[in-house]
Amino acid sequence: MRIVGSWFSRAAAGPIVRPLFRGLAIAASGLSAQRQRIEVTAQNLANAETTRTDEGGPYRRKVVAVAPKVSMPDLTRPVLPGDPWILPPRVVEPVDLLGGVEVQGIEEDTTPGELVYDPGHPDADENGYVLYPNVRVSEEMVTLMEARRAYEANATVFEAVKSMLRRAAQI
Amino acid sequence: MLRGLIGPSTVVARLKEGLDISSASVKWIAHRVANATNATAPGFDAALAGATPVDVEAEMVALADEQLRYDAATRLLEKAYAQVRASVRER
Repeated sequence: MRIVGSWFSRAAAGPIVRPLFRGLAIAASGLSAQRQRIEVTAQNLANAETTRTDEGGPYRRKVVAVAPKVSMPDLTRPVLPGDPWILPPRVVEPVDLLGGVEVQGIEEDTTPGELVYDPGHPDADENGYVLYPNVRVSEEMVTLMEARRAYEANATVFEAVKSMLRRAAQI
Repeated sequence: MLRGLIGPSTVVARLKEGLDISSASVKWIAHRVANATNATAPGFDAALAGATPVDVEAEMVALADEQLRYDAATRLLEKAYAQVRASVRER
């Protein structure tokens, strides 16, 4: 695997999420990661027959590299000028470190593609063989289904957290 | 006097604790579901990586459970505050 790009540099340095909304942020990170997996799968399927690229050779299958994200807790407390309250130091609980998932980049699958005998193809070698991309349509379809289901699960969590926040606001 | 109604040793404080616990549980569920397809963490394909896979069905059941618990706690808290409000207004 070779890293060919990183899409999440801005999000990694994004704003600090307040603990109240962290549940939403975690679910949103999952939604974003699954959306990117679906986009990369679409790119792989679109190029399943591409035999020439700018780098030379056939298209290579792309894979989204994801990793759990650790959130840096916000230990500062807003203190107003002249505030008489002395605030106790905040204890960092393990739940404060949860940050959901992070897309670290798009990697390239380096397994070789299939050699197909097709002497009439413009990209055929001197023996008449064409090197096709290492994209397997059935495998991509499974990835697509998995990403779609995971997206739905994350959307359910998002909805649940949203309804809980709405309920809390009604107290 | 209000300490006896909504102070740290009352049912209100326990309900607040319950809300905090539910909120933290939902964050853990969200984190596990967000990482469900992650090969370097527990996920669908984690069995190949030697990690414990996430049971998404179980997570969804736990989520529904926490939602109900949270809803019940907020309703009880609402009632407790309504009682305090009623006593303050003397009616």
